Amino acid sequence: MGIVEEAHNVRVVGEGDRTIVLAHGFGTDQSVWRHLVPHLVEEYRVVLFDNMGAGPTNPDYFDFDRYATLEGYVLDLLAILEELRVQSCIYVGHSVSAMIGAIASISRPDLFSKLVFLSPSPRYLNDMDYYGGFEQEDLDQLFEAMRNNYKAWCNGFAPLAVGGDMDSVAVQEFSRTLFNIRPDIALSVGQAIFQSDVRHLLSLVTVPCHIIQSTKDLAVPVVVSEYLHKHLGGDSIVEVMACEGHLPQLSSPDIVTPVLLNHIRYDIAV
Amino acid sequence: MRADLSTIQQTLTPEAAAVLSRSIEEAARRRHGQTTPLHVAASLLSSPSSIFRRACASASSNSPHPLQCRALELCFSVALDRLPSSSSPANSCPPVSNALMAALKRAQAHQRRGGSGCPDSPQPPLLAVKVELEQLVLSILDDPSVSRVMREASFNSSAVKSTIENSLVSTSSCTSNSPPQLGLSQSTTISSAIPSLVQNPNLNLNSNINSLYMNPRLANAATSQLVDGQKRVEEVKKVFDIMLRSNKRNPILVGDSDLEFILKEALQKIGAGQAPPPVNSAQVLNLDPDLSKIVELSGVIEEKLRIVNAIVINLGDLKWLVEGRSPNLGPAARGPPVVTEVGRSVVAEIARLLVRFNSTEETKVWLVGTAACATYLRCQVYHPGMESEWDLQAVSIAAPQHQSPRPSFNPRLVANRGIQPVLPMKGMGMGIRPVPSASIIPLRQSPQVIPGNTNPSTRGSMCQLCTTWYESEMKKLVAEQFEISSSASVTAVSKADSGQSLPHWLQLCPGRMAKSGSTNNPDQPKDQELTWKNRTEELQKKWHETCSRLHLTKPNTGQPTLSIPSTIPSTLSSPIAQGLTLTAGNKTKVMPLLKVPSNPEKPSLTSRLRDNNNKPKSPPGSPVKTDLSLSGPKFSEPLSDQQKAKIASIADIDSFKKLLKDLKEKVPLQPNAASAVAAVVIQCRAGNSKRRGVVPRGDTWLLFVGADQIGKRKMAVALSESLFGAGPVIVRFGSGDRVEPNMDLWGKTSLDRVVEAVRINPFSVILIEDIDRADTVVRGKIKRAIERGRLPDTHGREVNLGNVTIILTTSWIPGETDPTHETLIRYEERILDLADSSSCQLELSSSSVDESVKHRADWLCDDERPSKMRKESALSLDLNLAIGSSVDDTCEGSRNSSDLTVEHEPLDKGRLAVKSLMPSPILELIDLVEESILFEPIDFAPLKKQVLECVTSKFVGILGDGCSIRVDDEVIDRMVSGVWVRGAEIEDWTEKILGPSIQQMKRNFRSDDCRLAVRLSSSIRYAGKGNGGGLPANVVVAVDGR
Repeated sequence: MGIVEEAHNVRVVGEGDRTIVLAHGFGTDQSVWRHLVPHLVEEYRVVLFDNMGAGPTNPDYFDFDRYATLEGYVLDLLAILEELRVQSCIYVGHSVSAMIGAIASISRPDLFSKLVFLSPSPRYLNDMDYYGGFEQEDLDQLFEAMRNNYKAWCNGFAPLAVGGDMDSVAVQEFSRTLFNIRPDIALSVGQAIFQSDVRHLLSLVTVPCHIIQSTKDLAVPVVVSEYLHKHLGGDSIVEVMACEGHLPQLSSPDIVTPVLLNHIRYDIAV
Repeated sequence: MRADLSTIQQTLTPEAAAVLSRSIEEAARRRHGQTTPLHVAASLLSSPSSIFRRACASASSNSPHPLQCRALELCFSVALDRLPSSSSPANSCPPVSNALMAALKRAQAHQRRGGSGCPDSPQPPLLAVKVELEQLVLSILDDPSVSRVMREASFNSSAVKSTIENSLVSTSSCTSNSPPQLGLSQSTTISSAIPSLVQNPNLNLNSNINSLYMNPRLANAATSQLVDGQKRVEEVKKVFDIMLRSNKRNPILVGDSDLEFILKEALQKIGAGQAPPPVNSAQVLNLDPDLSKIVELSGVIEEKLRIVNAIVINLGDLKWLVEGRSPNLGPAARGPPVVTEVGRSVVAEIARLLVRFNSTEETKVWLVGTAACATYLRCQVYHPGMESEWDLQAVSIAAPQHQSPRPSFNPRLVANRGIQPVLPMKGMGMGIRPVPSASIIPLRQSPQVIPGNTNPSTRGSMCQLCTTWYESEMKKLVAEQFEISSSASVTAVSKADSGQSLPHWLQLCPGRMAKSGSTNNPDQPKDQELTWKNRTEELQKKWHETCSRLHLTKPNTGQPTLSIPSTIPSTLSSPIAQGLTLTAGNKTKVMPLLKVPSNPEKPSLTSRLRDNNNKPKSPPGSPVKTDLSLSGPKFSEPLSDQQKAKIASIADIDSFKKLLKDLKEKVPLQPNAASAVAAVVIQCRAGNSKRRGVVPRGDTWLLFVGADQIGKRKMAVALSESLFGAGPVIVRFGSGDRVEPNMDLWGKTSLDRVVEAVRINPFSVILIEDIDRADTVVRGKIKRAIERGRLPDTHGREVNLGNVTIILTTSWIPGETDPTHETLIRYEERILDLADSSSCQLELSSSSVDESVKHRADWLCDDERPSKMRKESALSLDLNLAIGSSVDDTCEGSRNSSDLTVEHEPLDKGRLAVKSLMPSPILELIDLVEESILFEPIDFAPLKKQVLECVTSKFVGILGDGCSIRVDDEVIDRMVSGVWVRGAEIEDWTEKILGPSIQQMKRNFRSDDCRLAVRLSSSIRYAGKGNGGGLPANVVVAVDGR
């Protein structure tokens, strides 16, 4: 196994001519796709990996400079694809990984036949003529809370993000993966993500994008999907699902899985 | 979906289109399969006046050097050489590659935005935009393959790009006011979007990294643990081979990784004398880093040669020949002209030295060094004579196998440049990893090792019996599968174990999307296979477990009772199974059929009345009561289901436990049924419906059979509250309205109410009671609904059952009935009847024994156990005796035996009756529903005892020990019924209703009358209105007798 594969806990499951890359978002790891993967393995070669900094990865590899922006993750993604000799893939990215995939596709459009974004956001901060859902003060408070007591923050953040009470399995699962992250790394990753702004890059994306989003999502307002749809350089399509939370694939797999499968199987009609 | 060429050409301005056609021609000339951005870049560069060339020249340095552009051209032509040529006969028009297509689209998008002048103005329609040459150049520069080639020639593609953009801005700013900003912003966007190495010196300079994307920390970690010792030895050997040759014997290691490492190892070997003969005597001389001392080199060598006859000069990285040597001069000071001046003199000096010292046979001088690919190329450009003058031989070092397969140093390039490749290196030099998939295969296989122990190994480990059962169930499953899709099953079987290649957390995940998948036709076949896999594996596992538990691991396999097929394994849960093995030995003689540990402590109903043991008040059912044993193999299988649930997933076992806890709390008397219900429900909700069809659905059908109607309803209520937080919808067939007398049917049929309930809330529990009393039409509809998941109402409108859990109940009892159960069931019926009947008043009276006998007989006369009742009625309940005297004990013992004889006759009758009653529709339903769950008859004796104790203690408390008290059986039954069916509180009742009446009675009689016999009976004088509490609203004190 190559070093990149090993470092990112790359798993390749299933068989098929086409390759699907499933990329998880902040605070989770590849297990967030547990409900989706069984439906893909018969048809596709499914590549799962952990982003650097996620719980199961080696914290020693986390270079705070490299991962201060999304670019570090983009490079990682490309390195994984290169090491696996992926010629072309369908990329499914959740949350921040959606934008990571988008940037990667600008750099290497040949590697991506289609991008499927689940709960994506090009920018979380509000701006002039842009509603991202967060004000700077909100974020400062958030980071401060992470700094002060990471565990408490996890317990508070998980139900908010998932959109369920503390007892639900999805919240428990998200808290678990969230708390798996080393606190300083989590803070750094969180800052990199919440302060990111890739709006100016959207126009450079030429690969078709499928944007999938919950009706109610603490981190991503629905208008953001519309924004993406308008500004992406290539074709795009938006589907808003009747479910809640930022991790719908974990909290409402019954709703999300069929939707994701549809978007994976079918291309945007021209 | 490749657009054809003419369409593409139309989106370009004529000049851009011309470039494209030239590129295509070039690709065709080179017999390449596709036209790539590299072709375009090469043709852009080829015309001397092109904007690209100008930009490159001006971007690369302050003072453009013509050679640099030549180097770039060279690099591009080399890169084109590297491209695989198509094997097919020359294609006159190689299609546009994906990367080029993307570049063209990017250019189009830029043009569209950039050309519109003001960003606010509406963008022109896409077709109206023609991509200008400049935009084409820009987007070609964005292409990673192009920027990589440029990097090899030490050009910075983003610098070139910004040069072009600046020129664009300066020209277009004349016509528009806003574009400058736009252009600038784009230059920043692109440079940040493209992870170009130039921006990241960390990546660029680290020669250990082969992949431009890789995290440097990973690479460092990797090099520190390099294990390719074997390969390294080969490389070193190659170096020596070259040094032994007569010409071209000065090896330069060329490659992108591990060069220093190999060189160091080679030099160490030379130093240690481990090199082959002529070289082993040589001494290593490191070239002084200061270039100005190069003139002194000759003297140093001369001096050394006096001692030894051979010297190896280590040149180090040849970078210093083409770049500035001293890093602290900064990039600005690395002007190419300076480098070439110094470098040229060094090249000449060393060449002179070589000629001088190698002219004689006695002395030998070798040169060794390293160079990155780009460095070596540049050396060839700047010092064209160096290679021959220095007698160099390039040794290409392949990247380690775990690193990127990026072509590092192509053999064709080597040949082109006059470097002979060393043959064994050829394959690696091309950057082709010999085992591309080797790193993936073990990964896939590794999880297979783990489940080995959980996976039932072979069929051979099952005993004959279980194998037969397994096979028959398997056959059924297969048949079922074929019904639905005959084609799918074949592939499914062959793939049946491919699920094991999943990581563990995936294996635990049930295929559960089907709940919403009914609308999703394309998904179905795959789901079918998934479910099929689950089911076959589960089946096999189930039988293996059953078998190993019952037939192999047990010491007393010889027990005849245990070899009775199938009923045992499928019905017993593990604690019970153990109880079975313990008791079965004792019981076999008594009970010819495996009726099982009918609890020896459980006395018959009647004897329990007299049971004065100070038994705890805890409800019965906690000791082992395996009344399930009589059911057929289809019946509730608490054990296997529980185990299935356990292995289903961690998440599921949690919810299973939670549900089970809830159910057991609310229905304490039916622990077995509770666990069976919980297991089935959790299974179904997890999508592991074992039910008909291969498409799992959201609706779950359960059949509650057996006695304990109240328990069934309580179970339904508990389940509904636990699952959905609301009560169930109860629909009842047949006679009797003891359930919801106030339910207005409004002319709707019961099924309509079911349909309506589903429509209102597709997430609910619906309880359909006494399904066996429904007419055949309704039963047919329900059967079809079970099969299809849709239920029609009277108007033929169908409703999808969604996620509804529907519970059917029937009082039918499968198989043959235990005689003790018979009485229990009868008593339960009576309790229920009493609850239905209008209530009566209770009466307190003092009476004689004779009177009471007459009184009681009037409802007992039609009882089928007259002898028993008579016997019992002859006994008065004497409170003095009731405090546990020895007389009672012996009395009870004898009664037990007599009871047995008494009950044997009705037993046979009852069994026949049950059999004849066995309704075939129920059997059909059993086949259809998810699970049939048997409810055991409730033993009311403890409850009766509790009621009685409560009442008598009240009497004793008020009247004192002196009086004797009789409580009519009917009264007891009524109160039991009130407590059981209506949930009344007996303690409250005695306190609030009975207590005052006794007080009143006490006042009526003189306290010194110690022979007072009090009787509590039901008054037939008038029937009161329905009482809400379930217990008589008041107790009248009748003054009679005296």
